[in-house]
Amino acid sequence: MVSESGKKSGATTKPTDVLVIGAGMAGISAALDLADGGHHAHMIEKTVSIGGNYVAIYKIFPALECSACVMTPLTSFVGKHSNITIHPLSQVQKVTGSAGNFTVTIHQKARYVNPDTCTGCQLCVRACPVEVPNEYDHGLSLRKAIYFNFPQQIPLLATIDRDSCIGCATCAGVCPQDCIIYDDEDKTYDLNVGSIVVATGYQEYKPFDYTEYGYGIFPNVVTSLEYDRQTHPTGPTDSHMIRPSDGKEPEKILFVNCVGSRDVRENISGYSDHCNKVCCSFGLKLAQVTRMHYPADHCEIIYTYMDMRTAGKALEEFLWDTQHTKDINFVRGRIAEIYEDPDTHDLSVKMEDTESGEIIEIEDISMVVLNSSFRPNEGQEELAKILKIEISEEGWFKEKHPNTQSLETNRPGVFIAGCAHGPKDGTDSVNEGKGAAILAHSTLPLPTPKEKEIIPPAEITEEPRVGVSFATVEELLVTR
Amino acid sequence: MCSDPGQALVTEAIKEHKLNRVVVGSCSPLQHEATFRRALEAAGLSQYYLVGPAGLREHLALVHTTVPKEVRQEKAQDLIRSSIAKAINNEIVPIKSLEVTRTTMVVGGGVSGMTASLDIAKKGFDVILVEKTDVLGGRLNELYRIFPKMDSAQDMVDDLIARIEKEKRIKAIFNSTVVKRDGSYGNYDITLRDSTTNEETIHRIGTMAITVGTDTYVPKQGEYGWGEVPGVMTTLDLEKKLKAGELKKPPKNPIFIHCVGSRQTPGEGNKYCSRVCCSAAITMQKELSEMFPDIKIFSAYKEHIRPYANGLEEMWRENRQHGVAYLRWVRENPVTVEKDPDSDGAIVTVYDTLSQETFKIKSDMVILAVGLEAPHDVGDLVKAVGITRSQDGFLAEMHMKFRPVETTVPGVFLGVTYAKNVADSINQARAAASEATQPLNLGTVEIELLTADVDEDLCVGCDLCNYSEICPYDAISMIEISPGVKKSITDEMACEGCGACTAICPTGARDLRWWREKSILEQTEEMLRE
Repeated sequence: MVSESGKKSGATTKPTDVLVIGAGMAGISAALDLADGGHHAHMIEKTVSIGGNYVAIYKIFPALECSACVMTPLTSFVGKHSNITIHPLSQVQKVTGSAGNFTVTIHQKARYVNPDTCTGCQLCVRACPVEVPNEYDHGLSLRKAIYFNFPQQIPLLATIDRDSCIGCATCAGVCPQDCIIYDDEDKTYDLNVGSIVVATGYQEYKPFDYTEYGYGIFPNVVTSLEYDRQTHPTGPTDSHMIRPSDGKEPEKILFVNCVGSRDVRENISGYSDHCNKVCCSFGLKLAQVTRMHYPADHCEIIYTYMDMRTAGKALEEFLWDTQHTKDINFVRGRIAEIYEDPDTHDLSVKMEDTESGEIIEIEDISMVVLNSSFRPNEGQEELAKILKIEISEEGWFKEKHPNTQSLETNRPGVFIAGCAHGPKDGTDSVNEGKGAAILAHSTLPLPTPKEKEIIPPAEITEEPRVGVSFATVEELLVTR
Repeated sequence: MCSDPGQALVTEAIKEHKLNRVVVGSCSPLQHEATFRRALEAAGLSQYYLVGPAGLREHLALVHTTVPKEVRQEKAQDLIRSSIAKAINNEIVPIKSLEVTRTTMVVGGGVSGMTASLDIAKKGFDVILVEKTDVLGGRLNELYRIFPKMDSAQDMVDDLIARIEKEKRIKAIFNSTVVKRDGSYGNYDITLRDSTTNEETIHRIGTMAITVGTDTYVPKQGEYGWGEVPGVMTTLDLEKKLKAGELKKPPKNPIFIHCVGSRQTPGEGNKYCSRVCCSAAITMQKELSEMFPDIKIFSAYKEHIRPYANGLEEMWRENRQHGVAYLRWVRENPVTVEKDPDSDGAIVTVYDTLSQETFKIKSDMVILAVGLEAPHDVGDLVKAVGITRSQDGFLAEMHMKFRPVETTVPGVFLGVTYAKNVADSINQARAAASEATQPLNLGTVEIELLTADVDEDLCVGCDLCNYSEICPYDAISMIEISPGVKKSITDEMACEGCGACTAICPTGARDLRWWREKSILEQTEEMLRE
């Protein structure tokens, strides 16, 4: 017998849509759960494509799966979902109303490309004469003024960075669909939603404050996310890890844990007293990916740490595997200083091996990877003011209660998920996104089901006509 | 290939070449069958005319790295030819749309289960909250103050119980466990047994969220002096004492030992890290140092200390500033606990790798930071519901990262798959509640009838499929279609498509939809062809 419960939406004027700010892993998880349950999710994304930091990562700990293998069809599904609208190049400008009925003003930047006709063919990108540093690769490569973050991004539309564009109209000349709109303008429009989920994620801390490590001065000192891009097939070095100074394959790589966290010194910008939770596992993953790429007789890998905090599902087993079967040398200690040989750009470090109590020097290091921590994303404070929610002492969005209401804020109807309120890994971000989804829709009426799009059935002949399609060899081998 | 442009290529090719079957060669069906099925549907072609992806990755590129190219090429061709043979035999599988029961059963009445229940009820759905004991609150009934802000566990529990009692849509059933699952997705019939009366009741639900929490590791006799040396207790024992106000006089040199029943060497016990015990121990050390400022507190951690929860790195630093001594030991030189011959206490011997000194500490309170495990009776629940457990003993989710609450049973979701702190546990329970309410929101569920059907012309009514009881799901019965003429029939809603009956049927009358015997034989023939 079917229960009669469930508030009926009927001819309600109260909105059943939900706003999701941020289209990273937490935002996508929230949007999908809302959409699969019949509520329409509006995803507001600041950059040109969805997926955030998670889709840019190559392999995920602990199973070392290819992130893109799940993320590209997932983002494709999000893009096609009838209950999700993606608003790229957009930010929230104003919020009025209260829980159950918010009016949100969205400011969408001009794309200068027609979203209805662009097919993502990239002819414009090939033709554009302007090259600028590529933020998606953390400055390790160049992109054009008209660009894509990566070839499978969603939405698959070109964007012109107007600040670097010189207005030569070469792209307009080569585009087979006439997509370029030079006089495109920013738009401002309102959305009426019942709840808001804030899932704005984090940005990587760039350790310029660690002057003793030479980051930003010594070319072969990189951060973990930068090194991860090097391992990525769509990254700056075609999945082949090389030294930035001369492009040579590394013979000795050193990993340094806890950069920008577990550090009480005043000169470190942002909040750094905390443990960033995920970097240990992230660093181990990078060490394992390095070993998969370069055998032990080709590249020595040294991992320095204070504590290995692999405290999630299957992560301790991952640590055991990395320590015992991969020919990776673990040294417990914090490095004091990094020195560079100005001719070869090789690095050397001095540190205490705290297990033996000896001071050791490690020389001829090809590359140092600084396992950096998270900081709140740009614009967090302004967004907090617009949403009228609080920021904690550590700089993240403030939870209503750290134990029983960690996805709620001080404002009813506004919820938080993912790294927006503190560092965490993918599993926790997905769980929180989903948890925020039910918080967001449980106070809203039942949604009215959308009319399903009727696709005319294809004409089928009696005789079988089989089409065979293959993934390319590169795809198969690279998804190792 | 599986991204948007790749899928579009497939859709366009179907339209352009008027294809009626598609074979994809790439990774695996588990990964991308759903993806390419969508590409077919987008072209107006039934998704069931797809075969694949054929395993050119897992079955070829990843495993045959040293064989000659010709051999690999031949295997690739075998894989594709056999997929084509199946594709030609494929048929459309009927999908039944059913109204869903707008009730969720939440199994486990701790803070996670209670929070999930309140969220679901707020939406307007009914909740049956099943609790094994006679009170709600679970683990937090035993805890004192919760990190990071040292909030009272009792207050959290009381607040939730008050809200549960007020919410009319939530029915709490005590002293009960799940013993059987019947019915089908969206309309399950769950049997509960009351442990005090042995009475069984059946409840019709749409979906289920499992929030059964964890049990603590029970140390073995003699492990770190457990059960043999006076003063040895677990962290949970200490919490209970703190909550009951039993600590009146200052303990002498209380010493915590981390990783008891966690992070054990492979082959010797639980390999995993229980994630919360370092944080809990640090919190208790803060409690003790506040209650008794003049005592010396020790904490002997195994190789790594993991104040993993928010704010705990800071609390650990504060503890050190207040004089709590953290000693680091490694498994090659473990901590030992013996009875002190001169007193009613213990002597704990620790080789601290940081100071490179051995400490012999006389203590009357040795606290073992025990790890967490799946509830010790979770095996019964697993059998009753039909879900599975992971290698580490916890309940198994479909994918650790991308599908962290789904199980192999549609409509059954996990609010607990690992040891977690209060916030993370509640958040996962909410994630399970979110998935549990999706079909309830929509009002209907779609059931794919990938079942065994019967060709009545071939069926001779021998009764072998029924009499042999070979069907694990009781989905087979015989009906009399005319006097003296019996035919076998499948209950499509109970059938899980395992194929056992099709194997035992002597005439070939029973066959699996979409996995027809002819299709499998032709597939095999193509694969073996030279």
